[in-house]
Amino acid sequence: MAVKRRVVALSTAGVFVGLCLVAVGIWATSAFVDDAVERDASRRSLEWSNFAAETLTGINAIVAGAKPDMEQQETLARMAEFGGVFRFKIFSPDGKLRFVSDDPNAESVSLGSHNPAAASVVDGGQPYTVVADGTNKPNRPDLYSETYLPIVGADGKVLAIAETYLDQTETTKAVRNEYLIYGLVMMSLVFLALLIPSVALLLTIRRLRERNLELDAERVRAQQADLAKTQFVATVSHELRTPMNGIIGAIQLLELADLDEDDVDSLEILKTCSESQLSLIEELLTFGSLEADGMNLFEDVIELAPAMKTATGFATIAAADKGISFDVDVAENTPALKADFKRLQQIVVNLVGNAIKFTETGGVTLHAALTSTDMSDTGVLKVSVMDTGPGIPLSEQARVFERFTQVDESSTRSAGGTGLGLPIARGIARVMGGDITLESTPGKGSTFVLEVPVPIVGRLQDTTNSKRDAA
Amino acid sequence: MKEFEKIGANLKVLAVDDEPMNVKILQKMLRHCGLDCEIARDGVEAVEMALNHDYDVILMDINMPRMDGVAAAQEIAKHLNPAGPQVIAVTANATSEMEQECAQAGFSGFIPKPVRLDQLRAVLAAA
Repeated sequence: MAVKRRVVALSTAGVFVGLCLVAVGIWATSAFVDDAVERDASRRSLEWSNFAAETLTGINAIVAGAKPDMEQQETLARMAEFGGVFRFKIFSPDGKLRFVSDDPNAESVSLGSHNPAAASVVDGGQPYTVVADGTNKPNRPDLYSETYLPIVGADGKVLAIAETYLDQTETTKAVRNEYLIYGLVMMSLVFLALLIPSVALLLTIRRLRERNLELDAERVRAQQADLAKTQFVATVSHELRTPMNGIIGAIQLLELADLDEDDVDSLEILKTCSESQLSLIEELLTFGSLEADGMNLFEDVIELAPAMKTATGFATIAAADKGISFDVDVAENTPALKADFKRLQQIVVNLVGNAIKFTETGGVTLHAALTSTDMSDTGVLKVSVMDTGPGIPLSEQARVFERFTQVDESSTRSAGGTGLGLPIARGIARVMGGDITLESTPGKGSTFVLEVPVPIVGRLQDTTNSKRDAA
Repeated sequence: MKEFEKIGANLKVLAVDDEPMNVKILQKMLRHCGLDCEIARDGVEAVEMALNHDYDVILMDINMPRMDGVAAAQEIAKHLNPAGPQVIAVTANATSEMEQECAQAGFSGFIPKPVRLDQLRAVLAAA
């Protein structure tokens, strides 16, 4: 919107500058026209005065006050038609009126009257021109010039002073047209110079606005799509869990029933399968919510040692079943931190579960520590899960984080699983702002390291359990 | 039949769920805990029964026709609190978001489906 205001200001300034230019143009044109008319009048008058000096013999007598004789009258009549002059007067060098061309008998003018303007051109030596409006006078062109100038003899002596009247209507019109075209061209150039960038700016703004609207619409569509996916995941989750409630509920009830050994065996199979079915459903749903960007994180206050103990509770039995060791090592005096405990647990269960699954001899160790700089209120939670399993070749290490893959395709059979575990764990870690990395040496084992930035809460008095924040 | 640890207190329980299979399982589990229960099939029924009977605990499904569990719990709390029954969510919507929503709506417990007998017993023992 600020851009729009700027454009309006720019346009206003442009219009103002344009009007100023028009005013200056009109003033300059009229000045130029007057100037041009004066120059034209001087030039033509000088030609006329040269003609007069050459052809009018006995001018001295006229100047002295004598009436022109017949020959002189003929010459004077020719002078009245020479070079576009339509009227002229002759003065003595000291400015006394001696002859008027359209009134040779001086019935309407007083001969001998003194004209100071005429007298002044002898001293100045320059023609003196006045541009006059003839629209209100009879027998005068609309625009004409009156030029006083000396008539100089061959010896350079001023013989007389003439006042020549020249029709300037055509000259003015021509000059005006010339300047009008010139002015119009200039105006157009200035206008274009202002218009082109303004239009370009406006077009750019419009395009930006359109693009913004498109992006808004796209964002809304994407949000709606995400929402639809999230809702789909929620619905599927609900619908898949509902029958599981009946299945697992009935199994639990049957466990309390009196069954013979064979039936207990069958029930055990039913239990294992339904539990693994449930965890598959949960894995897929977590993956679905990661894909739909629908994962919200909670901030639980967590004490690291008990939290790790809770999260790895399943592992002790699982490791013992396989005859391998499982150890948890949490750095002492770790302050409480904030993280989504369920999600953290999901990652840890996945990493530890994987490690136990692929380790046949030796064992699995979990190290957990919080690193922070001095008094900083955030730190990095680092959980590494180290196993003595077969290890993963360097060329395969990136693939383990890809969906639906296992290093050894045949191990899908022996190890089971959807191949979604690690992608999910890494996905959650990344939603948390962290990541999971892998270091592995084939034949020696693998270490998966989870690192996530976490806010540090400080030491809690109650270290018995992690608490879910009421917020 | 193997012996399952019963709950000492004789709690009056209302089980609310629109899915008959779920109600049946819950009823059987409660019997193992030494408790009987009455049954409502949706939120409207649950509110009506809660207002007319003096239940100690209501095990409330969330996703139900006519009136969902959250609305029902709020309705019950509006009329009966602070001396009303403890309302415990029993839901297949097992997300953290749902758990938080229930906590805010005044539920005093959250049991995700599939219901674990141990968890059910622990929640009822604490009620």
